[in-house]
Amino acid sequence: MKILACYSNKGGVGKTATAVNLAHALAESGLKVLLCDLDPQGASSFYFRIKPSKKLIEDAFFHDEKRFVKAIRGSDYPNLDLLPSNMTFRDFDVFLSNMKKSDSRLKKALRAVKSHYDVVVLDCPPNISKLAEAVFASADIIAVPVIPSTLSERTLEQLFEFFEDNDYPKGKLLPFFSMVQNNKKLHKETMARLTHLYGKRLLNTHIPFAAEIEKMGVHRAPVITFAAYKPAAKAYWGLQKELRKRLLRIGRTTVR
Amino acid sequence: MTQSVFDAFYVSSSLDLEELSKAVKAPYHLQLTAEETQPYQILDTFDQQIHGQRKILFSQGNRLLLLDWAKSLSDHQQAKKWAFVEELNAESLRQELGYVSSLRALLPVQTLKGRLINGSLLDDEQKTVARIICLCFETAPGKLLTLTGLNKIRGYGKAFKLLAELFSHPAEDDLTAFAGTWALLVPDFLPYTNKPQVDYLSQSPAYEVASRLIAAYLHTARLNEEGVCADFDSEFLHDYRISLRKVRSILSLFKGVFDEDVTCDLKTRFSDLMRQTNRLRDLDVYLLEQESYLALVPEILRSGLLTMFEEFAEERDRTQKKVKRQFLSKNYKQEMTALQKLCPHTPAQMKKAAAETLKVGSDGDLPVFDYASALIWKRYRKVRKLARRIDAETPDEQVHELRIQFKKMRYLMEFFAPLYSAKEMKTLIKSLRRLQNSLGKFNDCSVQQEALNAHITAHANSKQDNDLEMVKSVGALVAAIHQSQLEERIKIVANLDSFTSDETSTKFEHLFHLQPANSAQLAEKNV
Repeated sequence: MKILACYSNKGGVGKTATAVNLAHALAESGLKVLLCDLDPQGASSFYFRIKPSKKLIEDAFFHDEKRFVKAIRGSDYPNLDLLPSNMTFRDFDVFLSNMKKSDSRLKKALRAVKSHYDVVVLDCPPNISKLAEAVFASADIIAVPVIPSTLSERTLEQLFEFFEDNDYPKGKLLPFFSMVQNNKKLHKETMARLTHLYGKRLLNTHIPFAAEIEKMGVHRAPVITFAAYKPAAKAYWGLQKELRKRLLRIGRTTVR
Repeated sequence: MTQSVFDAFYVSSSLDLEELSKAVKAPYHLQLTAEETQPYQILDTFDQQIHGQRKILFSQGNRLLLLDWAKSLSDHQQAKKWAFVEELNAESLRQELGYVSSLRALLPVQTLKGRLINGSLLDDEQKTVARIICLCFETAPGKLLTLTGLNKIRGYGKAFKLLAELFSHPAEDDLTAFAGTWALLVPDFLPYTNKPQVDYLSQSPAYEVASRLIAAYLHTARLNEEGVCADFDSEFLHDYRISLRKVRSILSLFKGVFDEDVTCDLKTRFSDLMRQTNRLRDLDVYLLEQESYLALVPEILRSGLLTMFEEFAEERDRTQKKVKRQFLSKNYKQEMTALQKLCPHTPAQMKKAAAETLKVGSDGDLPVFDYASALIWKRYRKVRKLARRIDAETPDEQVHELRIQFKKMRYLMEFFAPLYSAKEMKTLIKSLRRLQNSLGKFNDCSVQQEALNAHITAHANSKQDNDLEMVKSVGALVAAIHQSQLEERIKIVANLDSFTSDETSTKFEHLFHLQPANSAQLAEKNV
């Protein structure tokens, strides 16, 4: 089982949309996928029409393996399950602060479903916190959506610095451009500069700024299911392919 | 491909969808998508290999649905025309039907009107919390049969339970439920086997057993005639010929059971029948072996072989048409009917026949157990004697003689198997299999070489370039087959030791010689 986190230390960059569409596309490709909605706002759960979990409250996520497994819900799509969030997830930081070895707690909790899934996709809240650190420690790959703007450039820099300062392996970080508007000069210039700066670390796929992605809230479904031939759907499929390859390169994923 | 794995499965007569929808209580509701009623065909091999695995394959337009009884339903697209499993587009379906013989075509067993209904149980967020899939068939005018599968969705056990409660008759997961449903779907189902079972007692007169065996195999042969004429697959002719060969063996091996003149006349008549299809079967075998033949010669010589196979294919077409004409001819039909009339099946027919047509021979009244045991024991000793004389140096003729005698022994053991302990017979027959296979392959090699050499001779004087090329290729093939034959001979000699061993002798002796006639009752249990 591999852990793939969708993370950004800046909000509104298309992180949840990425987690939802990526998890769905990986499942479509034949992998058994669990999407963990760690964001207390529960946007991922909303897109899949799944209600917040009522029983996985307080720190049960980290302590109660049975409850953790029981809270998992099948989505409407083959191979894809979801662990819905609830409001108590916003207290994860408090729980983790009170635990010893808090960095490895998340990985330990996910071990409960190790044999069920090929990939666990984590939809993370947008901040650098105890939970984020646990994600940095546990994830095999961290996909980071980056809007090609000056502000995002700065946050990405900060993230790399944080990894550097805290000895997290920077190789896990795989930034990609999100909400790209090719007609904007600023976007083009930023993309050129970041490509020069980050080189091979950057994923090739660009997720466009697209109406279909906005419409996910209306359809409450992944883009591929209602706009399969639109550029956004194709981009998520491309992102899936690229990340799947990287995950396999890590080597231990069982592919059916 | 979509596959739905059932968590519950129900068989009911009809399913009132409206009522079902009404029965679902808030916060849930049922969303159903019903397809139009369309003709569905049930497909299977002639010997019902799919049915044998408790599966049902439906074909509807470009689509194939495979129902694994009470377990799952998979839905596949099949645009191309197909007849054999290996011709299917969908790899998953090919795998699921992997156990079906590659030699058998899939044929329509039944056509009936049906429709597929897909449904989701939704909650108040419009989230699917359970799934339902129904196959509804009209089995007779006004009579419906519905097969319903339900899917649980992880984390929604309560909703699934609510849906399942609406179905009051759970299917018993045993063979009767499947058999019962199958009987409704295919009311005129006639199971076919190329090994017809004839039940008899150990005291039954040998005459009775022999004539019933002949009647059964003759009937089996006739069941294959339609398939041979329609040319569905090569197994129809194969089974037809095996059945007739069995009849001929009974006539020649069951000495003294029938009157000698009658036996002689029947043997000729059955041989005549067999001869009509000899060439067609040979050609079938060559064409089935095409791939393995091509693999035996170097790449450079393959095109010459392909020319030969093209000729074979053309000849096969002509020969098949000829056989079909023969099968449909008045003469053939009259002869088959006459033979069937001659070989009685019921006791009344038998009594009449024994006195008038199929007259009883000197040993015909012997109890079959005594008769069979003596026959097999005698044959075994003959085979053993032959086998002991064979070593690496013996001429091929003797190996052929061994094969013929061995085959006769095996046939006898098969005919009379119901008289003996099933377990002991099984182990004995299993211990003979390796030698039997080698002898079979040895013979095939020699028949093939002969036939290929004949093919070479026929084209030897041709001036055409591609004929010359072919002759060269076939020559190489003959050499390769000869090599395989030599290898097979080595295997035969290696396997003879176990056959002539004291251990095997004891087994034969115990089964066929030492059991006194009275102890036949013991064996009776197995009849």
